[in-house]
Amino acid sequence: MTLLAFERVSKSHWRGRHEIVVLNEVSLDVGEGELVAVFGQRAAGKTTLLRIAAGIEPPDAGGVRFEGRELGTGRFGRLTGIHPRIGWVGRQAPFASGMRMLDHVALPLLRSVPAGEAERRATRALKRMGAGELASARWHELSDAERTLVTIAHAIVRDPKLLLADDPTSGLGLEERETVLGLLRSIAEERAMAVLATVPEVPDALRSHRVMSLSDGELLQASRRAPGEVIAFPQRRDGRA
Amino acid sequence: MSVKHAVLGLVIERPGYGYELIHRLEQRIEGWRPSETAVYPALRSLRAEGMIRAREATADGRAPSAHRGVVWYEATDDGHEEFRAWVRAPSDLAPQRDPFWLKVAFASPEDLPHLVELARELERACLERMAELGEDGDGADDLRREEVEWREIGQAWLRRTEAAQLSVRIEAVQQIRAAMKRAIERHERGRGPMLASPSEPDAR
Repeated sequence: MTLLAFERVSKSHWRGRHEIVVLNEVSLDVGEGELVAVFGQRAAGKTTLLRIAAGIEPPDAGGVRFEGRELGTGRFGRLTGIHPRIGWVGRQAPFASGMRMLDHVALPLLRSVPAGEAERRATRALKRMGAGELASARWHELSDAERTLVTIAHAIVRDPKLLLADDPTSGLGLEERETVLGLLRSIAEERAMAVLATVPEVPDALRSHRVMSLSDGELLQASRRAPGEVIAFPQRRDGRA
Repeated sequence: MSVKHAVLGLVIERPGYGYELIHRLEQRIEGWRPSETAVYPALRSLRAEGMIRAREATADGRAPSAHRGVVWYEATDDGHEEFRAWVRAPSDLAPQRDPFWLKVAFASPEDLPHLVELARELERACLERMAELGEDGDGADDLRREEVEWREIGQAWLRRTEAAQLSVRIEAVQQIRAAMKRAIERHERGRGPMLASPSEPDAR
């Protein structure tokens, strides 16, 4: 089932009198259980794409639907900011710098569930990311890779249906990138969650179910295949058999 | 690409016959898009050079099992030696052979809109190939296992280097696509002497 759909979404930023087209009639959809990777170079508009998908930023034109409904912006207040069933993986440090990571991860739950339950779920989320031993660590003690794992735990603790990950691999080594993307893929599959992740380098996209690229306002994607579909080989681009 | 050495390598791994070798070649070096028609000439010339030989029939004088009528090849000692020498020989820098860049370099202004579309298609093809590579995927964790065979690691790197090349191509194609779009805009605004078509004789 399609969870997130963009229909001819356009967005421009203005730098003085100069218009920069960030998204030019971009259409895409992301389904349950699917990790979709969007490759784009620096300043290609990847973060804008995700912010629009999160409902943090409105598009200039076109429609964004989440779970079949038009995704409005600003409905969820400035502090929470984001739809409760959408998780965001960014680079933001915890709300308070001295916090234990367990509390940081549990924080999004505190408005809706009792503290004990929040702590249990946060522990589970950290463990799922293979970061159970970081529960009482502080942010400044963590490596970049550990921060990424904690940030993902923080984003999935509310059991979102859609996870938006803004360059989760940037700054990581090759093996760490594979670990992070492998985890994103497996949590997408096991929770029937949709994951839309941007990646700064194409090979990172290898772990995804689908690969798209964003440049100069255009989003290009490979034609879609059913999972498990057999790909005819040899495929010759020139059409000869 | 050296189909001959790839075929010799396959025969050294285990004996095979033409059709089976084509199949294995496709599996092993998929990204190179080996031409199946290249396999038979490669077999012929390897045989003529004494690198491989037709496998001897079984004791009762018949070809092995169900594959009667097909010729099985196995590597000779010379073949093993030649292959070892080739593996150790220096590798040249492979030449740039993508005709797309020649088209870009020689394009005239009226070609550019078509080349922008070609660039999109090329990028989509690269993305599709990336997706295929991902499906064959190998995890870094798998490759770090103690009991992993070298062949598996080598095979994984065949895919990874292809992914790296695709990545460079995608970035280059994106950049040239943007550059061409700007050039078209400039051309339409009637500016940009760089786009004066060289094919039009201006002194008439």
